[in-house]
Amino acid sequence: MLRILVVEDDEAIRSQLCFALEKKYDVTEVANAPEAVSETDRGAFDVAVVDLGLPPNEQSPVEGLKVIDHLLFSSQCKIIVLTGQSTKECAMSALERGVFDFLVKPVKMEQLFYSIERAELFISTERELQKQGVERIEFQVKIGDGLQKLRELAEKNIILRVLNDTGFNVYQSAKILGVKRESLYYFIKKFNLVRKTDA
Amino acid sequence: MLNHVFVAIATAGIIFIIFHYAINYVTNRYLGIISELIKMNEVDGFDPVMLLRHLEPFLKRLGIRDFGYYLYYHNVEYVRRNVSQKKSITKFVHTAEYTVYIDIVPGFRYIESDFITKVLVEVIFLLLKADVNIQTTAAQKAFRKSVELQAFINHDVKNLIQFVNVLEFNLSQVDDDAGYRRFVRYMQKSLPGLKVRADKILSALNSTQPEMDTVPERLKPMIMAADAAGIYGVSIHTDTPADMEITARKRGLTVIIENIIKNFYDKSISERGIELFVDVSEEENAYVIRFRDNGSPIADCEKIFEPFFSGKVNGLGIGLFHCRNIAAGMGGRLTAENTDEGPVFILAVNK
Repeated sequence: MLRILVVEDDEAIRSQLCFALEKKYDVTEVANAPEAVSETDRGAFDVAVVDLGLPPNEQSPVEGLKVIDHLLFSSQCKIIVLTGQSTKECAMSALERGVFDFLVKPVKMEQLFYSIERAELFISTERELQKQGVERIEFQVKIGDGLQKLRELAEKNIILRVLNDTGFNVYQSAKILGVKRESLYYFIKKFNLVRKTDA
Repeated sequence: MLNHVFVAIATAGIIFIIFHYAINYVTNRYLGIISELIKMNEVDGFDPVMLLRHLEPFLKRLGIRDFGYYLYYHNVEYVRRNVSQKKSITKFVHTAEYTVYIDIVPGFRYIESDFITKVLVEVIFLLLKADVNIQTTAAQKAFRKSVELQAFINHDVKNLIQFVNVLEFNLSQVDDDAGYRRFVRYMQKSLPGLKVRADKILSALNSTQPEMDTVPERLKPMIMAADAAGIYGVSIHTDTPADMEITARKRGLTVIIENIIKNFYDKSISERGIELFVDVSEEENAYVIRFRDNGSPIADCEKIFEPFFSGKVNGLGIGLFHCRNIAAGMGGRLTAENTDEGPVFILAVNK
């Protein structure tokens, strides 16, 4: 069963969302960014439905973006933003980070279910590909920035992904990546990669 | 010879005294009229257009031959041309927001000096400039706050519609008794939050008026505080019995308690582990409810009650301002202070 994290500060909406989603999915609900972070650290989620305006700054996307950053750093979770903050800047900030979908409140539940089903399809396809040894690494670049930046971003994301998978075990990560430990240390320093708990 | 000198000195003295009194008379007359003009400007609400409309009779009384002006602000212009060919005294300022130009032709009065006309031009110019500044600054602030208020209400209304959308969907999914019972259970969970959301919208719309829609009744503030804390998952520490009663307006007290507890909840997100202590006591003329936490002190215990002051990112800053208005409407007072044990909000409700 798909594991869904609902991050929504409005209790009325949150409990109704849970009622709707619980029939089909395994749902966990949280009301703010710190709760979302601690839930994510406790277990992995397949999909997160995230409101951007969370307390204490409900009129700004800062708390929601913190949740998105943490989820993207620590998991392969598909993030569906469900927010009342419809400004272009908010949408850009979320999409630049690599969220799966951006829904502006109010939406019909059918739209949310459709988005979750699409995420589910992506997840199952990615898992199928993983079995075949294909890993999905996401990165966002401006085409005009050139190949060097693209290559570095790809390197950074692959290394970060492997380090996260191995719990920042440099020996294992170097083995998986097929590089020397010294080279891996060089990359960790170059890209300033730190374990989330150390940051 | 001595007589001639005496007559000359006496004549000079008389001329000096006449001149002195004449200058005094003219100056006082001018200053009196200018003072009237300043008072009238105040009565007109510092409106530069009203000032210009009322200017002519004042200038006529001062014997001014003609005058002209050009005023531009908020993309509107007001013009009066000076048709006199005589030499005039002018003053002019131009900024990105406004332009003020004033042009006055002195009249033919023997004792009037250019100096007094210059003072008059300076006063009218400064009044106009100050009025335009007041109007443009007030308009800018009002627009900014109106946009913020609109965004705030928009956000809450979107959430309400979102709630209705999910509710509509959920209702369509309930098809048996078990589902119905589960739905009722979830609705019970939803309602307190929904009520707070609706209260917030109402508070935002009525932020300048104390709420007088209910009559005082016997209330249990500790139970009200526990209910509000339950919405945010906040624990309350107290030594006050839960059934202690006070007399207050229910709606006003609910809004104040919810607001203070919400503020504590917001604070607890950035200051993990802080605790809330709520106590009620009865004094000679008032019931006093204290909300104390052991977190960081309040930066400015009066500033937080000013309208549109907020410590939050994009916060509207009307919550505490509204609460203080409500407290005043209930014949009480809401204050804040920093103590050795932590910041405290004190709500005193008159008996």
